[in-house]
Amino acid sequence: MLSKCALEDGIATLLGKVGLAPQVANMYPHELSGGMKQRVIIAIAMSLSPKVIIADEPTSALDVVVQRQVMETLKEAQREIGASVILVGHDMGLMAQFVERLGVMYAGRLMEVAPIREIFNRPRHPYTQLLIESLPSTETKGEFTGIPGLPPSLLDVPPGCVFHTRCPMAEARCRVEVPQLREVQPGLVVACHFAT
Amino acid sequence: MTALLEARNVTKVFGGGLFDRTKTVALDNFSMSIGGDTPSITAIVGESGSGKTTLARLLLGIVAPTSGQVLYKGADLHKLTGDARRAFLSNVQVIFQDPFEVYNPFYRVDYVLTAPIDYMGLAKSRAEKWRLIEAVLETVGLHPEETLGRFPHQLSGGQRQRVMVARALILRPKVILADEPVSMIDASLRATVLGSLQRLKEEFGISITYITHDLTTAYQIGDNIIVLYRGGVAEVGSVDLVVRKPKHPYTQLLVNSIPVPNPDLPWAAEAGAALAGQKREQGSCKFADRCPAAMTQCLRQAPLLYQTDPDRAAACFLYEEAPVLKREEMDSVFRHHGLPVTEQ
Repeated sequence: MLSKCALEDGIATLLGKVGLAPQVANMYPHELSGGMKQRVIIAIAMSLSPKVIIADEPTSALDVVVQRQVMETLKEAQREIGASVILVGHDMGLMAQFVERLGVMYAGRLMEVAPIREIFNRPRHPYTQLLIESLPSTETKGEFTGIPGLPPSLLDVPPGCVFHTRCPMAEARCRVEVPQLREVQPGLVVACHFAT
Repeated sequence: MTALLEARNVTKVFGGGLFDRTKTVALDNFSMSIGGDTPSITAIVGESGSGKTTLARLLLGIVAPTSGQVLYKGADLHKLTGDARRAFLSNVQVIFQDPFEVYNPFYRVDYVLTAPIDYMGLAKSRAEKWRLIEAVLETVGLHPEETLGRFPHQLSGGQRQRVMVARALILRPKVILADEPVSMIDASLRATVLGSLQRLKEEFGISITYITHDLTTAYQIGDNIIVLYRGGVAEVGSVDLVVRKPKHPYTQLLVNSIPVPNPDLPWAAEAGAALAGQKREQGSCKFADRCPAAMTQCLRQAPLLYQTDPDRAAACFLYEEAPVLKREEMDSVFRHHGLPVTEQ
């Protein structure tokens, strides 16, 4: 048990770590902005010094400046208490800056798991390739290159490779045979018939 | 040229009342107009708590300004009644940030789509109503058969947000206020939704106010941009100038904080504040205590908007030599269609 005083200090320290003032502890949720609410949640997750932190889109509602601060805090906490972080997200920029190993999922299946540099420098799976090509940047401005088609209904997943309906490389084999995750290189697995 | 929707010297202060004596100035003397003769996409960018959402709520008439006015076709938004109010409701549509709070959990999601059609009398028959709904759902990348008939908790955050985009599209409004519409949508569909917003501008002449914290998408779809910092305008102008060559130290901080999708280009460390820990006088530059380029005068007075280029103005003493731009005339730096961006 903590004394009330120690508890308040602990809360203030945790809030400080996510860039919030100690007074926030006495506020109601509706008084906080979307970003502030998310930072309180991150502070709660850090409070018990866990071994694994599963962060599901932890900063997608935050602005870039706070996002960087929060991700740096998360990284520090990870080093400090030796926790592993599983970061779930869709921001490939954030992934590039934060993670060491990335798993790419599509329609409920893993398409590729690889070290982050391999993902960006040499994506093996066609879905990963298209995903990286569709990233917007402030370097070039142009047409939006999304991935044509829609993700399949999860109630009615296509036979064979789940991505064959949108894949530019798909052949007859992809429509019937489910590609298994194969290790094409140590530490790099891909679920595509053609990946090397 | 009369704008459809106009904020004139709007200030919104929260608190300061009987129970909460701390005053928060959410928006400070802000003026802008939306939906003029040429449709355009104006991005409003800022960090959490910068006043972005307050601005959207003011423009929608959900909250009243503490001082200043919000005008719809030149008339005070809060005094609209009858047909004028109905016209306002159908001409100005909104997409909110949080797709978890906008649904009534007891209604199926169909309700948010049928309600505007019924209320505005957009369909003559049931069949026409469902055709309309299916068409807008497909525009935002949803399968009607998987979406309709569901309850909100059965949809993912991204799906719920896309239903909201679809709902705004149904009324074919003149202005859409989109408050973080894609912050909860995955990357491959984000491009689809943003692309469809851009198509709405080009094909239907809908002006869009795109409120976001994501400078990258603001740059991709915006024509003009307003960078807000704690309720005040930091920098305003064409996106090409403001995002690619930012002048205000706060915009520079924002641009440098974007996570680059390249593991070999690490995040640059945040530059320290030049005058950290020094006391800032009330009414001085709001960014002075975090600014890496702060000077002593920044702690004493507030900078005006200085027009550094024909298409851009920045509220920073670093550009004091440039001509002063009146806050009410802020839109004059916005790029008009067909004119190339000029830089000094």
